[in-house]
Amino acid sequence: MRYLKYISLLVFLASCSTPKPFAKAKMTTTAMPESTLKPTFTRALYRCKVNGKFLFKRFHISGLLFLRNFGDSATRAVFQNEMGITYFDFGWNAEDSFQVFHIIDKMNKPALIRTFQKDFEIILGKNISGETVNLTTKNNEQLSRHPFYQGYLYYYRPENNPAECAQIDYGTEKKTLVQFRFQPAMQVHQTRLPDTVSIKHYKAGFVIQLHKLKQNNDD
Amino acid sequence: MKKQTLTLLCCLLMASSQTLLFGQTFKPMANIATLAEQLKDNARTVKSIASDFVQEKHMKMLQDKVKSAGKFYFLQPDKIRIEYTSPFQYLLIMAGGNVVIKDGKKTTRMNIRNNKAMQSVNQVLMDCMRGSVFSNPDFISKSWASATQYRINLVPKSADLKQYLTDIDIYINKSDFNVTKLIMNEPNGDHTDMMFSHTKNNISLSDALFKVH
Repeated sequence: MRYLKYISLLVFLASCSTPKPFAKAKMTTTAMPESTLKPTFTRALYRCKVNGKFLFKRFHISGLLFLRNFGDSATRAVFQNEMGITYFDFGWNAEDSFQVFHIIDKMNKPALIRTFQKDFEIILGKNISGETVNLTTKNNEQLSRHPFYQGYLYYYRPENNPAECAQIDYGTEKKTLVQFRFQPAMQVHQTRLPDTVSIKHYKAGFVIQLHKLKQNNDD
Repeated sequence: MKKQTLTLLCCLLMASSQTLLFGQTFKPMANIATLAEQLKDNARTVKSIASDFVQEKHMKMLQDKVKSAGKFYFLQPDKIRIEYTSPFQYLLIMAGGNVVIKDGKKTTRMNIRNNKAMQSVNQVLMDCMRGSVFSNPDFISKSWASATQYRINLVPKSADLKQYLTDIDIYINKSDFNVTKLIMNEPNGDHTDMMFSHTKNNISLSDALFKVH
């Protein structure tokens, strides 16, 4: 718990993140139905671990992340510690409007909430524009770019299997702020939530690792 | 007619002073001193405890629950090992005011004085085992009794702790004073139940069980 204040500070620092230029050439602009980026699920339970470093000191936080999707397309994300105490309970309605239902005082920092909100929205495919710019990389990967808040999401897909996406970057045209890696690769026209996700926050220097547990899941 | 109304009123008053939980009628205990003494006496004879537990986190708004399970060990005077085995591996060892957590391959040593919620829940667990549950200055306690169990309700005093927990209910067997259930109620209506089973007292437990290698 004492590390939560460090994370808040790190999230603040992350707003001025490191450059990681994309090597790409503009190709075409298309429109993708926003629903194709949204996974279909009822419930999913993830083991969640956060590892980072602040002022030469390492920190570690862990718990369980419970994702629940309702029939009316409303979604909830509840993070609790191993003993069951809720740290936060976030929700989105059918129009992807975000709401904080509950959060403990130590985590109730706007920058921290915005960071988690965006991280979850990328996994859940919420508030991502269907406006697509198709690009290529040096490695001949197919790269599609979608507007997301003040930046863009870059979906990396191998040329020989464009239905799979192993990596999503969030950033500007010049900088990567956050990198999502999926193992195994996520299907672009998602039908289910990914099994494992690694979310690397550059500059802020912390990594969130999510591993889907067998219990409390659809599958 | 007046007599009937009076009888009905008396019945309602009697019913309101009792709690019906899990099919058992719990009546408020006027004198907790005897129970407090019995718990202390029992704790003097119990040097170690080993138990299985199932934990269920009930989320009111989501109408859903998250289940986990594991092993619980206690060794007098102040050692506790909580080992989650399903659906994830997580080990928490408390000894001498310090907590060691093993999460996968990662071992974290922390002083629980920095974590109010964890400190309180762990202290309550420790108090249950040591028979000192009524002596905790951080909580206001009330107790009830049914034919087979005691129920002790602990309400936190501090505002800091109240943001995590509204109260904790402890269920204790009358026959052997073993804790059968611990319910942690949260302000948002969620609650986490820890149900203990296959409890064995005074079995041989090595000190090594309370160390992380």
